[in-house]
Amino acid sequence: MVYKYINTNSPKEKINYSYSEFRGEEFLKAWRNSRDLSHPLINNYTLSKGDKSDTEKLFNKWINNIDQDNFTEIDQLFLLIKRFEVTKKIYPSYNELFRPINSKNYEIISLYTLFAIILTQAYQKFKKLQFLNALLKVNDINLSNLDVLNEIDKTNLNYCLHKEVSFINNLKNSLQ
Amino acid sequence: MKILLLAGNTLRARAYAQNLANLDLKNSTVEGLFFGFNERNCSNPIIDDKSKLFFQQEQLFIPKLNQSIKTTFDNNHWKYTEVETYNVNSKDVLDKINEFNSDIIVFAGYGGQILKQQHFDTDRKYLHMHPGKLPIERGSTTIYYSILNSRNCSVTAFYMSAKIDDGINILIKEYRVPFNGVNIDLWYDNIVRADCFVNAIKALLSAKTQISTSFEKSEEYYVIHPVLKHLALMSLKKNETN
Repeated sequence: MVYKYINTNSPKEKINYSYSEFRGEEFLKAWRNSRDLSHPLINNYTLSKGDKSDTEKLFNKWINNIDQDNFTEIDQLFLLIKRFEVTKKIYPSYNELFRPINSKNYEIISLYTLFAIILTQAYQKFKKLQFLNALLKVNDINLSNLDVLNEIDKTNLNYCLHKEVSFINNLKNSLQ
Repeated sequence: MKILLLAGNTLRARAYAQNLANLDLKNSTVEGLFFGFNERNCSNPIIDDKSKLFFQQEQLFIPKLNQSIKTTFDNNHWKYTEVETYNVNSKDVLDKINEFNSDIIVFAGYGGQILKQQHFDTDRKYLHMHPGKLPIERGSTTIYYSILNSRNCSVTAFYMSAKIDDGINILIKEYRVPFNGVNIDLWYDNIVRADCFVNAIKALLSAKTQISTSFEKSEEYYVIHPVLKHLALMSLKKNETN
């Protein structure tokens, strides 16, 4: 069975998750196969300088702070998730309500890998399913764009995929 | 009480109408405003054995989802009006609503449709049944999130406002998590919402509602990723009496 939620036209085309069919273990195997973990998890993620866009700066700041007890921007993160869940896009610049400044500029894929890191850390800390749900979707987008990822993006994606698989395994075990 | 069913050509609308037909509505009237029926077809499913057994065990009414809403209305001598447009926020629909003098409008529209502010510019009451406990389970596909969060499945009957899944709660009813093999999207969702609907109507008719504004923190959920949906479905217990 082919895992059908990889689309090389994303993020331009939204991947549709509505009314998905139940296919049992076969589907979970297909998902697992789509997550190439052949590269071992040696390093954590790598952050760039954070000077390419406002969103990159913001994401770097969140990644550095989210594990702190005084991370106060959780509501901002939830709002960004809401916007992402509607549009399936991440933009290099937003207004204060996380509406994009330029709605046509959404193809900086490194922002999607940074967003995946944030969701990974957020789920690890807060255990809210909204983070895991969005992580699965943004990883689908990242995997759809493997050929445009640079080495840093690939390292970061590798980290997020390892974490994602671990989260799903743990959740599955906890439900049994 | 004058009840108006604002209905698209959907399975949920059929379930609502059939459940309503089972109530003793002596001093109440039911009317229908159907929209978009020519633009949208509706499937005619027949319940599978596993789902049927579950609902029989739970003593929940099982509607015939292959029976059109117009047939239900005709059988009960309820009047209905049709509007061509699929757009529930169109002037045609709003104008027609104004012609009814309803106490309650029960909304059963097409998937993803949201009522805009114009519907709420008067003091009309729109009743909606959301398959989650409000406000902690707002949004989409919330039944699956309830299962993953190890909660019972709840349905909240509430008076709508222009804000999504936000309003005055009339009734929150809990339902047992379905057994493995029960069709959630097709049967469980429609049946529990319809059951909560008629319980809300009963409560309103007998003036025994639990009208409340909750102070719990609101949480919103989004269309569930298929991996999480699979985990939820595969965690369901088998029906040991099957």
